[in-house]
Order: sequence, then C-alpha cells, then structure tokens
Amino acid sequence: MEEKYHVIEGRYIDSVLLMQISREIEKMQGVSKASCMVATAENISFLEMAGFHPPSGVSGNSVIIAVEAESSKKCEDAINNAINLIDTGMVQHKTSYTLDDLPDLISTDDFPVVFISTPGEYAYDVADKSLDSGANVHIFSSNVRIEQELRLKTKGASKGLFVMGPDCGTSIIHGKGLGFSNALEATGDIGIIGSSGTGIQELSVLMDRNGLGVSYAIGVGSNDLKESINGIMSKQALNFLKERCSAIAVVCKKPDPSVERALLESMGNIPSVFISLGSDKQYSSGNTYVTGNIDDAVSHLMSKIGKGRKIQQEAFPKMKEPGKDRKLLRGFFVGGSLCYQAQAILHGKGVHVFSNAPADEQYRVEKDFDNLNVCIDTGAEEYVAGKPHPMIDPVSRNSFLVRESSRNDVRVILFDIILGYGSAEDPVAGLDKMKNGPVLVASICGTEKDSQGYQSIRKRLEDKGVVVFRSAARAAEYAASIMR
Amino acid sequence: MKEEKKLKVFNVGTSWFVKPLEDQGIEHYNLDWSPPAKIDKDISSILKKLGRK
Repeated sequence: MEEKYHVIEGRYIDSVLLMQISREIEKMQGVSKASCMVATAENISFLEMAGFHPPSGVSGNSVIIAVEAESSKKCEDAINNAINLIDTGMVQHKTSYTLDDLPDLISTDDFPVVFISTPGEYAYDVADKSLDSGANVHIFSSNVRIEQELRLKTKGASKGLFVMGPDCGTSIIHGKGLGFSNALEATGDIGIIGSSGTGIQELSVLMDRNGLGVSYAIGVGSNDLKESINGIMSKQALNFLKERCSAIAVVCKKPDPSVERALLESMGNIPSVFISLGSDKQYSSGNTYVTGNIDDAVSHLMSKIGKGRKIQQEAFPKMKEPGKDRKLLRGFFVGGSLCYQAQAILHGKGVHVFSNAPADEQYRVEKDFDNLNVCIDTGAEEYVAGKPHPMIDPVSRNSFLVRESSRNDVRVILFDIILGYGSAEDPVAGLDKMKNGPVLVASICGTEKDSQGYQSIRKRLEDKGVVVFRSAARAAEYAASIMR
Repeated sequence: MKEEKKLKVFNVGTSWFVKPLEDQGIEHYNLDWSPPAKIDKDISSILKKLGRK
C-alpha cells in the first residue's frame, strides 16, 4: 500500500464538506482509506490513530488530504479528485445572495430566522447584522464569547427578536425543526424552552410517542440560564409560548438558582414542567412540576393533559452475567444532555462515573480514564475541534465503542443513537464490529418518520446483541442495574 | 391562538443544515459567506497610517 498527503494552506473549508469529500474519495477503486480534515493537532493525532503518517509541521490553518491506496498513481488520482471536489463543492454552494440582501428578502408576513453555523469567532458579526436587518437568529456555532452573547440577547430582546444560542442545536418553529430535530407525528400545541439540544430532541420525541404534540421549541443555548445572561431569551420565549401553547416544558442543565426561581414565578397557571437535568428535585410549585428526569416530566404531562393515557416504560430484559472480572462502565454519547442525565441516574443508583462534562465537578476527568467508570460527551469541544459533530459524523464516536467492546475488563457499554433531520444517515456505521463481551446498552432518540428508519436501526443494533431502549433515562437505569 | 407568520430561514455557514429545510418544505435561502480576509500586520499598520481601516 502507498500513502500520500496534500496540504492546502490557509483556506477555510467547512468540516462537513470535508467529511463528505472524504467519503467520496474513499469509494474510489483501489483506495483503502482517505481523509480530508482541518489540520488541527487533534485531527493529526486522529489520522495517526487511523494508521496514517502525516507530515510534521502542518498548521491548524490548513487542510490536509490523506490517502492510502494500492499504488502511488491511485493516491494521486484520489488527491486530485479531492481537490477538484473541494473547488466544485465550494462553487456549488455559491448563491446570488449575501447578508447584505437580507432586508430585501424579509417581508412583514415572515417569521425570519438566520441559521448561523460559521466558526464561532465570526458568528457574532453575522448575528449582529441579522438582528439589525430584523431577523431572529439561531446560532449553532459555539465559542462565542459570553459578553458577545449578552450584547446579542440584549439587542434581540429590545427588538422583540429571538437569539437562539449560541451553541444551539435544535429549535422548532411552527412545528418545523431547525438544526437537529425529529420528524414528529403528533399534532398539538406544547411549547418547549431548552438550553440543551439533545434534551429538546429526547423530550419532544418521548412526548410525540405518547401522543403529546409539540408546536414550538425555542433553543436558548447552553448559557442562557446562567447568571451572566440571566435567562433573557428563556423569559422572552416563555412570554411568546404562553400566548400560543396549552402547556410548557423547560429543559436545562445547572440553571442559576435565581434564574430558575424567576422562570418558575413567571410560569403562571399554565400546566408546565421544569426539567433541571441531573437534579434530584421532584416537587410541584403551583401548576409547575419540577424534576431532573425527562421521562418523569413526560409522565407528569401525560397525567395532566394526556387524557388519561399513561407512559409505557420498557421492561428490563433478563441479563446474562458478563463475567466477574468485568467491572467498568463505558458510556460514549453524541448527545451532551443525555450524557449528563445518564451520569445523574448512575450516581443516584450508586454507580460513580467520571466525565469530561461532569454532572458533579468532583468527577471531572480528561482523556486519561483507562481504569475509571466514564460517561464521555464525544460532542464536547475537545473531541470535535476541526471535525463535524458526532451526530453528523459518528465515525470517531463509534470507533471508541468498537475499541472498548474488545476489552476484557468492561462490564457495560452505554451509548445513544440520535436520528432525525441533520443527523448522520447511518448513525450506527461501523458498529457491526462491536464485540459482545460487555453488555451493550443503547437508547435511540427517533421517530418512525425519521429518514434513518427507527425500526431498521433498532434491528441492526439488536442483531448485534445490543439491548435497545426508546428512552435514554431507561437505558441508563438498565446500565446501572447491571453494574450493581 | 395567534395567527402565525410564515417561517423563512436564511442559512449562513455549512450547507449541511439546508437539506432538513428542503425536506420539511421550509422556504429558505443560502447566503454566501466566507471568513473575512486576514490582513498582514504590516499592511494593516500602513492602511491605518493612510487613514483607512
């Protein structure tokens, strides 16, 4: 086999386009593996893990094309094809409009939303200009400075416009999803306010499955309920939804107590749930039910507005003892909120897990977690720098699952699969290589109408011996039961 | 219940999120965007001396 590399210096190419080009050139005859990536240190080490030997001294400002093929000529053909796809791919996305045209494209009959997924350092300027043009913004980008977020939200609120994000993965406006969302079936008028994207997806899917229709989900970004932002957009969203919805759900992580209190006081008499993921609170305040668990919140809404229906929880299958030497739990999540919720459930059942995104700071761990129980958020910045989010490209997350499944000291492997708009067409790619030594436990967040096909994904996992749950909380509870 | 305005989405950045808009029949526009050119520090200081940003 031959290897060749090509470096394109100082050019911006979005990581999703690079992933798509990698897939294309991997299909070429004679090519055994190929990768096009932004040359961050993280990605260079990923290439090395994949068996490449990239040249040293490549800067993070560059794109590296790495190819392994049966001959030098095939490598060169693949590299030339990649360069060509980069050039034509960029041209294909050219349109005749820019941000300067925005005021002319918006009419008074519109609910305009600018969806921003530029690198974080540029997102503020784009959002600011969009607000000046009278558009709401949904900022998918992360790494926007907190003082910039505050300025954007203060400006948005003064104009009656939404600033959804930064770091906002999911919104639903008039029943249509933006970013990562699911093809929901139930009709209804429940509104969600969420500071966590996969929290909104899990909640909306579980509601949908139980006949509760969601018409709005206002994603507010992970900082909105912190003291520094003071819930500016959550409060605006609450007022907006109270005029349109028959019930409201808030889903968030670690809200500032004063922001939480202010929101609870503003709920009024509308039936509502407030989910503070990871919290062990469980009480009612007026017509609002406060909990730390998404399933519990859906059960409560069912009892309040579900016309007597009850949520059906899946039974735990009988477990086969995986072996007494197997003691470790490995959780690898693409959904940060689901990772967070799993930790809280496991801790609550006496299984202490470490994480790069810990529910409890004393359990923080970075990458050296060899002999610990862990729940890792593989969508966290340190895992995605210069790469698409694992919900878009699950290859690196799934490679962790395959690697850990072959260890003889791992008892349980816990993971999530997220279907829907924006998610990978094959989120279980590569998982057929998982070994069955540990008990494999997964949850699928998705509906029958999602393009990936809920049933076919579920069957592929079950054929590999994976125990599959519809709810991430239930999967974590099952994992805990195996660890005890 | 409020009468709702029509959702219209303008995409700035990766084209990955355009397909979901198409699949749901949402009116959308892809707006061209690229990072602002980075100007060499020397050139930047010369431009400043010339009174330009």
